[in-house]
Amino acid sequence: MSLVRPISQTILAIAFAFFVASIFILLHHSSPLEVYGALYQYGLGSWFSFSNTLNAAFPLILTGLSASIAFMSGVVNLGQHGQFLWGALVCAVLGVYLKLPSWLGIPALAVLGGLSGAAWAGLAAFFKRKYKMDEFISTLMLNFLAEYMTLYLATYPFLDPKAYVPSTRLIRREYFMTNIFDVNVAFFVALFMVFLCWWFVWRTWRGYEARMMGYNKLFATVGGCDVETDTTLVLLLTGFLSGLAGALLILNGTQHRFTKGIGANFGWDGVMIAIMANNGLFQTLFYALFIGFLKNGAVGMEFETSVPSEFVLFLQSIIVLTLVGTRSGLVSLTDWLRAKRELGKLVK
Amino acid sequence: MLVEMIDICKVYPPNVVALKHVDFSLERGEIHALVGENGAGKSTLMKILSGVVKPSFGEIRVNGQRVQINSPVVAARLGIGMVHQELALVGSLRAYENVVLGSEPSRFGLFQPQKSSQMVKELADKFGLKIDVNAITQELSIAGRQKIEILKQLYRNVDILILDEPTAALTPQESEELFDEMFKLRDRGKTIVFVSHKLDEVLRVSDRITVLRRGEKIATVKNDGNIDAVRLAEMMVGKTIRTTSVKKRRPVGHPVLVVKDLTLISKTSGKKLLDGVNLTVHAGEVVGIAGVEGNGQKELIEVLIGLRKPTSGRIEISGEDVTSFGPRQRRPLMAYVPQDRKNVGLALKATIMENLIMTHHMNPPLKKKWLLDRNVAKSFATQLIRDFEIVCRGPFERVQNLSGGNQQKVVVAREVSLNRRLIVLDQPTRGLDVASTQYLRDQMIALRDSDKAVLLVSADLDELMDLSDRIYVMRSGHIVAELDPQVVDKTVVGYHMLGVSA
Repeated sequence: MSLVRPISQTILAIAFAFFVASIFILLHHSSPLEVYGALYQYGLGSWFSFSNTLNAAFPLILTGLSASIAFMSGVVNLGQHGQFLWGALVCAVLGVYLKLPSWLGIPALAVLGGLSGAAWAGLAAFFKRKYKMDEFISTLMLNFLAEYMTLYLATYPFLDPKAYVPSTRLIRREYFMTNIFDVNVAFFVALFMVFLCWWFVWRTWRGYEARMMGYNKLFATVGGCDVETDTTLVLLLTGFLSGLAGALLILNGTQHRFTKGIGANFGWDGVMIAIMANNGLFQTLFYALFIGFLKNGAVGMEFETSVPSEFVLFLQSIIVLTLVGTRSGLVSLTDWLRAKRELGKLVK
Repeated sequence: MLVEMIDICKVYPPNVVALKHVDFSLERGEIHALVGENGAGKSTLMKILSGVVKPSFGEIRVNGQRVQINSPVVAARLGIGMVHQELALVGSLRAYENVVLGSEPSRFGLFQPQKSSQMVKELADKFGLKIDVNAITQELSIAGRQKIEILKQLYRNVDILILDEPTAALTPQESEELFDEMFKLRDRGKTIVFVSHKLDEVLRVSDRITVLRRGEKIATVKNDGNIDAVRLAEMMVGKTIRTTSVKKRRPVGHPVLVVKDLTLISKTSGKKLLDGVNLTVHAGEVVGIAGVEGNGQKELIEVLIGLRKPTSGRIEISGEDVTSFGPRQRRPLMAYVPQDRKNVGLALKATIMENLIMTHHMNPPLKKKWLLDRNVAKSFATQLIRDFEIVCRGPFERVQNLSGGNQQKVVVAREVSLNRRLIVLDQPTRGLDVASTQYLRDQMIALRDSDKAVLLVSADLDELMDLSDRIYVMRSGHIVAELDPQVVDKTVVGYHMLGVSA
């Protein structure tokens, strides 16, 4: 019963977004049916399209998870981008120089990438504990530092001299992660992380404290929760998730190296997904897949119609707006209707 | 009839029915008391009259004319003004500046301080309000600031003055002064609506009394000596009620909470918020803290729970020095019912179960290494819901759906079931209806009888007098008196609160 309402709201909001977007497609003198047809064909229509959608979604699942867990705990980690970049860079560099058998090397690199992200978020946690610095500012600013520091490292010390754009050398072949029926193993890792995080949030006492802290920090503090450690832990965990996303993109993506501008939007998309998902973990999974579908389908849309793939960014924005708007709009609408009915009972 | 409100209904979205077919009228030059429990609809009715809230149904007539009061500005034009419970004044301005703020006398666009001050002083004199109009607002007492609000309305020429629970934060002496001023206003032709649930005050000052219960008007009666507090209380609650707790004196045990020379100096203002506070609470006694709000009670509680570190002094609980402890380390030693249940005592969006297991979650059987045992949590919550008679649909309902009384029961159930030797309660009955208040008072007596040390901070002097074995009076961060409620009466406590000798 409690599921019916959010699901119907979601469907309504997405339908409304597509409707609004179709007006703009018409203004562009294209046919919405054709455009959406192509989007579907290339995003979901065949096993090939579907598996590509899953592959496009795995970094989004992880960065979305990172933002959702942070926000639900009242910890404003906006540093997914920077944590992602460090995860990717450390993995890419170690992937060139570290010599391990693949069964050990791949997990080790993934974990080390995650730990790099955690360490970067850990800086914000340290500033918070030591200097009471708001993580909202520190994680945001650390993004810029991460961006230029990783770019420097990829441009000078670890540059692949044969590359046209600043990038590191290709990681060792034995670290390339495989696919299962065209689906990246990284996707299954991301899925596993969703369940692991769900277990942390809903089954452990630290997860309980984190959630209560998100509801009401003063309540948690007075109730005896270990809010300082909880906050640090959440920052480390969410940093790890973003870093892991970066590492997996190196190990299981298409490039297998760190290049300038890698994973351009995964960090911010994660924040956006968390907002759409209202910080719910399984909702995060759903919206990450949905955004993955849009991104993947956009390629086909550009192929088949004259609508540029950037249009998907526009569509995304409309969906976020209508989703958030419809959600609160529907709530106040139903509230208003109930109030009307109640008054009707009163005055006959 | 000056004002007629006819058949007023109000439904707050989604489905909170605040008023059901309420008729209310005001005559020129009367003091009309509006009484009822919390949630009876008093505030809503007056907010409708003063234009803050729109009615869902019904009509309002002023001087026989049908009117739409869409905003406080319209209300002011019709001569209706309200003094809210939370005073909205600019603290750094002088009293007269606050009065004229918004419609200042000016000449060529320049503010005229002298003229304003003079006008406000004349106004105060005319209506017999004793106040220094040139005082800085934040340096005035609550009673003084309330006078500014009243002057503010008079300055705008209102005929109908609505006072929403004006005596809630006043001492008995200040209340008396307010009543005198209300009589003077009435004698000069003003009409006053006195919203209150203090029945003795209502009976003392009002000409007519309207009783609301759960959004319905029960009656409007003339206060002509044929009505008494018991009858009024029955109308308010709808049944016969017991008003005092049965109190038996018991011998006290060893000291549980010992506070020595506790001083807290504000880091921002350098002001001494707590100044050498000494107090002791023994096992098996209820110790009350009385005082006008803002005299250090809030800070004392914050230091006791560990939210603020004292500048100097020492706190011992059950013989252990906890001065340097934070809330987490103090919780194994004490239970705490905070004043602000919505912002401190509860997480409103969380479930009843999640709220009930707070603090309990730090120990077995709930905590099992890394995990929180969901089954134990559920049976624990179900048990508490049954034991404390929390009216709800089950442990997974959100706390925000509960009534105020049941929300407070969630807090009390959690804290009492911690079974600590010390329990600190800060205004536990504020904003609760009569039945819930009685329930809580019984709980406190039961705690005392089971040999717990109970520290009770309350603004309700009657409650303190009824429940406490000893009362400390706080003023300006000091403990100024330690009194025995069996020996002294309420007015003596009031004198100590104000700092005038009896």
